[in-house]
Amino acid sequence: MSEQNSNNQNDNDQKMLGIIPLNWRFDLASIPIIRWMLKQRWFPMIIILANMFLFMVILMSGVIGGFSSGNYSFGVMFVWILWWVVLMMLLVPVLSRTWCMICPLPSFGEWLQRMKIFGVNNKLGGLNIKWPKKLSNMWIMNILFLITTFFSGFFTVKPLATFFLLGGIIVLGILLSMVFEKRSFCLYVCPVSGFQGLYSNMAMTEIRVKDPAICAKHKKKTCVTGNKKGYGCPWLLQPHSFKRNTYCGMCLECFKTCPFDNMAFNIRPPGTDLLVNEQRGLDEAWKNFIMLAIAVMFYVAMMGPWGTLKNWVRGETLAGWLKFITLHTTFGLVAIPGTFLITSWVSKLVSGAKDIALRTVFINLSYCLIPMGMAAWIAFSFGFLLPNGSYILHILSDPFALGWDLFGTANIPWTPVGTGWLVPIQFAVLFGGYIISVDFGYKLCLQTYGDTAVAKRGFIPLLVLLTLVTVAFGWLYGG
Amino acid sequence: MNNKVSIAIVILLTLGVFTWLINYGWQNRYGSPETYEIIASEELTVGYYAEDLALKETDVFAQIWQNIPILKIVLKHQITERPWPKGLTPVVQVQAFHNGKDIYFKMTWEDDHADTIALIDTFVDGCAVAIPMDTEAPLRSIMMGFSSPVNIWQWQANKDMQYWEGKTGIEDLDVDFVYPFEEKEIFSVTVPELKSAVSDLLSQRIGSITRKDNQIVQGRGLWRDGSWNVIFKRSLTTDNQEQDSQFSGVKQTVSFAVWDGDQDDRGSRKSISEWVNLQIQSLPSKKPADEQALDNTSNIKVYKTSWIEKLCSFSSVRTAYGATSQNQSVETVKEPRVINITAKRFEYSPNRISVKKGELITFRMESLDVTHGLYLDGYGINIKARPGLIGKATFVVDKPGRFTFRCSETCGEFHPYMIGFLEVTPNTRFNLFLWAIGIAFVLMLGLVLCRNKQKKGVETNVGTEQ
Ligand code: SF4
Ligand SMILES: [Cu+2]
Repeated sequence: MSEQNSNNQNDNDQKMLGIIPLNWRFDLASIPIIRWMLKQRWFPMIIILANMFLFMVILMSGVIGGFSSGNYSFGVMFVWILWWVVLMMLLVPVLSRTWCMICPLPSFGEWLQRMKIFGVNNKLGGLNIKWPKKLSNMWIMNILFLITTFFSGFFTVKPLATFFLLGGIIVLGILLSMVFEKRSFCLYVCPVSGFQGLYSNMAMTEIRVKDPAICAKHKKKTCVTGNKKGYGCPWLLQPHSFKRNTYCGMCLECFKTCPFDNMAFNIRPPGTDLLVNEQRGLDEAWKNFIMLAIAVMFYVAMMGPWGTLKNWVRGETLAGWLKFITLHTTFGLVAIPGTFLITSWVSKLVSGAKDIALRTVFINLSYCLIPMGMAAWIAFSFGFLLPNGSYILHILSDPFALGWDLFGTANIPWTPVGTGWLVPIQFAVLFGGYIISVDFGYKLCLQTYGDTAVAKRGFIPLLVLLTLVTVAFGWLYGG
Repeated sequence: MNNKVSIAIVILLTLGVFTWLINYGWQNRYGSPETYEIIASEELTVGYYAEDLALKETDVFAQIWQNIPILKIVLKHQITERPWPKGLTPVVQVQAFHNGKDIYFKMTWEDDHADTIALIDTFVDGCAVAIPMDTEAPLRSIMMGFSSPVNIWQWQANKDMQYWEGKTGIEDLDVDFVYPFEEKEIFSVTVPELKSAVSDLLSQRIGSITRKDNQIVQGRGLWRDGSWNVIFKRSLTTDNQEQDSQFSGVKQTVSFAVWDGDQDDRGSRKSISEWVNLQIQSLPSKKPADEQALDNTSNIKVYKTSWIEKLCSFSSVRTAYGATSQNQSVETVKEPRVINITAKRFEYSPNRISVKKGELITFRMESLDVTHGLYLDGYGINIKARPGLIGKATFVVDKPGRFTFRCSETCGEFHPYMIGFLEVTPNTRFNLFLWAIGIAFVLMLGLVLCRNKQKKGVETNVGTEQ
């Protein structure tokens, strides 16, 4: 009887919102032409090359653009209106780390290691030192990303600052690739990497093995070592036992190296990785908190009406800027985690569970903030896209502000589109995020506490917190 | 070893190129638009004195003028319109008062020779007071033109002679409007009958001047000891609000001009002042009423409610909704509520504006530095305010909710973040959101609690049903 019960329970819990079965998959690579493409050496390299051209234009416009108003700079607009928004609204939530698949930023370093662009050369150059164990987590990325946001008042508005940021990432990528093995930079340093990794748990695509049994029999594990067809996983992972999206950069090498065609490019229901208890840790939990804090801070500073705060953020005076970073850091590293710690503590208390560490509760439950955080970011991004999207047309025609008119769109004036609907859209997105968060919150409680009755009690404080957070975001965005 | 050397080279090269590029960008940087300097306007107090001047010769030097403070105003060449300037009258001294019925101005300036006769190539002395018709328009720089029509009172020496002393010099000449000898032409032009030494004119914009039908300004000038002394007199208010400037409020704006016939000044060749703010003192008895009127017009509610208060008022908002909307229909017909907004980089003040749904409001925006705009989400309203020129829009706030207004004129690096909130209460959208969240909360809580009960027996159904 009890076994049957738990099975039923499991069935139900394996459905998103009780409707969509979480184990549903469709392998895109089962379509022959797609599998053929994924196995080609020129894919995704040609996209990287095209992307690299784009980034060269961005960088150049940054160097030329000086401090001029960013809204007419190709670099600033492209990076912060288009790239960031597309990343937040489409790439990560839907396509996992597809950005990393086509990202040109670490390519220089990678080419220098390989001394090849399309071809395969498994004798990699550079010092090939192993990344230190102690730093093999998200902490560097957390801190770097937080520090990057300290300068958001410069990066997002001044062309030269945008150049400094992107150029800095490229330079760091090259330097680290010369010293450390493979994509150590991407895994442990790149500021864009951390949140992509975390939020890609929500994504609707994944790269996984089709049949683990085949992998088990395959002693050589060419996906790790590499062969003539491709490189061993540049992300230092074991593609044969992927369980989570977080650290997979979707470079597609494993499609090429697997002699049994055992890799799949799956479409799946969103959020399935949230329940995968593997490699969870405080670093990822804090990534969560930091992302929430940044969403709030960005909104308040960029889309709020408070001029004093804007002056702080854009560093009008050093004292003001210091106030801002102190506030921001405290909020992200202490206030939000503190609130969550209290919630976890209450949850554990109410649940009555004795044998579970508070640390485990804290870490596990923090994953239900991911849908909430994503929703906050998507809603925020709408606030960028709708009013300012029209700048893109202008900068496409006049990328260097030299008075060009390449596509005849240079004189299109700034035209906000659908901004009357901005707030309702944001509310809808937040509401969606709330529902999904609560759904996974409950599932995570079940996973953490094991027993249904205990989990249900422990879930109530979490539900209250999620509700309050949603209301707070709603108030911020349109209350 | 070789490997290490090449790695070192790569690293140095990368760093070198990056540093060079940053340095290049830094050396060739250029910034955001520079700020305009704002000249603080002079202020002229129009005090209340129970004194009536009949504009007799003695009135120009009447005792009352001794009691009224003198404002020295610096003049400059008029350079917007041709003919270009020759000489300059550098300073004019101005005084003003009112007696509750009429307003008086006195202008005094040095001129070593009185030019009172107009010929083909000789021009007369004169002076003028210009008053914008729109009392709301504070025009920071006269050179930038005016955003509303301007009422001009122009006194001319030759007309003064003719009107007050009957001396005609050479016939009835009106240099600026009727050229000498025009009468002798075949189709002669009627010279209007002179009703005053002051021409009451209306200018729609720079370079366009029409003489008004009813000439209601009186004036008289005397040249004494190397100075002209000219007084103007007109009723504070008139019935013709379309054509006559009004001094009904507490504030008005004026500017002054002086023509020196010696220097061939005529028409737009003149010395002019910047705009001067008039501070009109109210009548002793009327004072309280006036003050109240002022309070009402500048009544802007800046939203200060905290989110907790908002949450608390959430339920009451809905019930109060019917009542407020009824009140609104009465209000709507009336004057728009004027909301004065000042814009500076990168903030609006007030930055949160709260209005009731259905209200008729006027956004009246002034810039304190560079050109700013105001685009209101959802309403599509777009205003532009150059420094010195007011941007305005009047509309009914018929959509409830919080709407962002944002700068629409590139004004510096934070321009895209220059934002304010218009809160049209009741914020039905947010209330709806709260309801949705509330219902979802209750539902989900209920679902969890129900499941808890089912654990006792019927649990098998949970999975199979779904
Ligand atoms: S981790 Fe960073 S640098 Fe690496 S591929 Fe992803 S975005 Fe690009
Ligand atoms: Cu602006």
